[in-house]
Amino acid sequence: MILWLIVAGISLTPVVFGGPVAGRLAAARWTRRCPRAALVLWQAIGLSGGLGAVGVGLVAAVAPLAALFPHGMHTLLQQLAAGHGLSGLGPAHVAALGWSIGLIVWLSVHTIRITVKTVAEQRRQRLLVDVVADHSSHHDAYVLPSGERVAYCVPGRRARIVLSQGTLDLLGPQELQAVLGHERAHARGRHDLVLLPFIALERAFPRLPVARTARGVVPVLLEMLADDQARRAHGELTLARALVRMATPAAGPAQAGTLALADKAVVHRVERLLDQRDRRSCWAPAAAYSTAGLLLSGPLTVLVAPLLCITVWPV
Amino acid sequence: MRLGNLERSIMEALWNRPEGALAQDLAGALPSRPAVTTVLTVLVRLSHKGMVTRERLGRAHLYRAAATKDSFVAETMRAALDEAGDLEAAVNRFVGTVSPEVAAALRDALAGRDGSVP
Repeated sequence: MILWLIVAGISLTPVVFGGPVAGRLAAARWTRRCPRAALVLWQAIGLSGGLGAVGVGLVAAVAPLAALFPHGMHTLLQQLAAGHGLSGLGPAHVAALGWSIGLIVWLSVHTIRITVKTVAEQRRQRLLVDVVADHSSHHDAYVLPSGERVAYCVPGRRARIVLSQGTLDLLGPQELQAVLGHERAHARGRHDLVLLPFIALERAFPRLPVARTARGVVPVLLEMLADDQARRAHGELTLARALVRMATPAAGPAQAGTLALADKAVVHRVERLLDQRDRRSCWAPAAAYSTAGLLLSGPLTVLVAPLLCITVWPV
Repeated sequence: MRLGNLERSIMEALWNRPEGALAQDLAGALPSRPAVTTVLTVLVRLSHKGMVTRERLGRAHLYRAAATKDSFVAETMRAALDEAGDLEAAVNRFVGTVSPEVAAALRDALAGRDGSVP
C-alpha cells in the first residue's frame, strides 16, 4: 500500500515543492527555444498534480480493505453497491475519501464555471463582430470601423480574426500577413482551450504557487507558439516590425497602469525574434517530454490499475 | 442569405432610423426582401441579446437599436483592449501597447538588425 501511495504521490512533487521549481521552469531559457515542450510539461504538471492528489486520497481511503489498492477499490465499490456503505473504513479513511471526492467536485465546478463564462463571452464577441465589422474576403478577416490599432482573434469553432481600420492603415501588406498568420495560429491551435484549464486551476487554488505561475507562463508560451508559426511563414523581421509598429502607442496620452506588464511581454517577444541563438536545437525537449511522461505515469498507473484488474484479471 | 448577414442588415437599418421601426417596415426596406416573420424572429433574438430595444405600439412593436453603432464598436474593442484576467481565453490579442520609451528602444533594436526604421 505504501508503494501505491508513493506511485500516486510522485506526481505531486511539483505541486508540493512547487514555488521555487515552478519559478525556475518559468524563467528557463530553453522554454523560449522550445515553447511546445515547455507547454506539454506544464500540462503534465497540472494534469498529474490533479490526478495524483485524487489518487493519493483514494489509496489512503481503501487501505484497510485490502492489501493491494486495486482490490481495495473493488471491495469498496462492491460494498457500496451492496448497500454496506463505508463499513471497515476509519474516520481518517473516510476523510481521505472525502478529500478525493471534494477535489473532483471543486475542480469540476471551477472548470465548468470558467468555460461557461468564456464561451458566453466568445459568443457575445462573435455577435458584435458580425454586426459591426465588415468581412474582408481579401484578408479573410473582419474589419472594425475604428482608427485605433488592434488585431485579435475570437477563438471558437467558428473563429473570427478581427482587425481595425487603424491596423490596416498602419501595416504594410507583408506585416499584415504576419499578424494574420499569428492570429490564425491561435485560432487553429485552439489556444483558448489550452489556456482554459490553467485559468480554472488558478481560480480553484489561487494560493497555490504552481497554479499561479502556470497561469502566468502558459499565455506567454502560447504567444511564442503563434509567433513561431507566423515567423516560419513570413520571416522574423517582418513579424518583429509588425509587433513594434502595433505596440507603439498612437500619439496622445498613454494609459498608464497596464503598460509595465505589456512592456516586458513585447520586449521579450521582439528580443526572441531577433535573437538567432534562440533557434538552435537543444536537448531540452527530450528531457521535458520524459519528465512529462514520468509525472503522468504515476497517477495514471494508480487510476488505471483498478480498471485493468477488472478487464484483464477479474476478481 | 445567412442569418448573420440578416442580423447585420437589420442593425444597419435600425441605426439609420433612430426614431425606430416596425418589423414590416424593415422587411419591406431590406434589399433581400425577407419575410416579416423572419425579421421578427431575428429582432426578438437581437433584443434578448441586448442589441435592440422594443416598445409596444398598438398591436405591434416599435424596435430601436439599443445603442449607436459607434458605441457597439467601442464595446467590441473594449473586450480586445482589456487585459481581462478571467476572460483572457475569450479573445487573443496580437500585442499590447508599450510606453513611448520602450517603443523607441525597440525601434532602435530593429533598425540595428535590418537598417530600416519601422
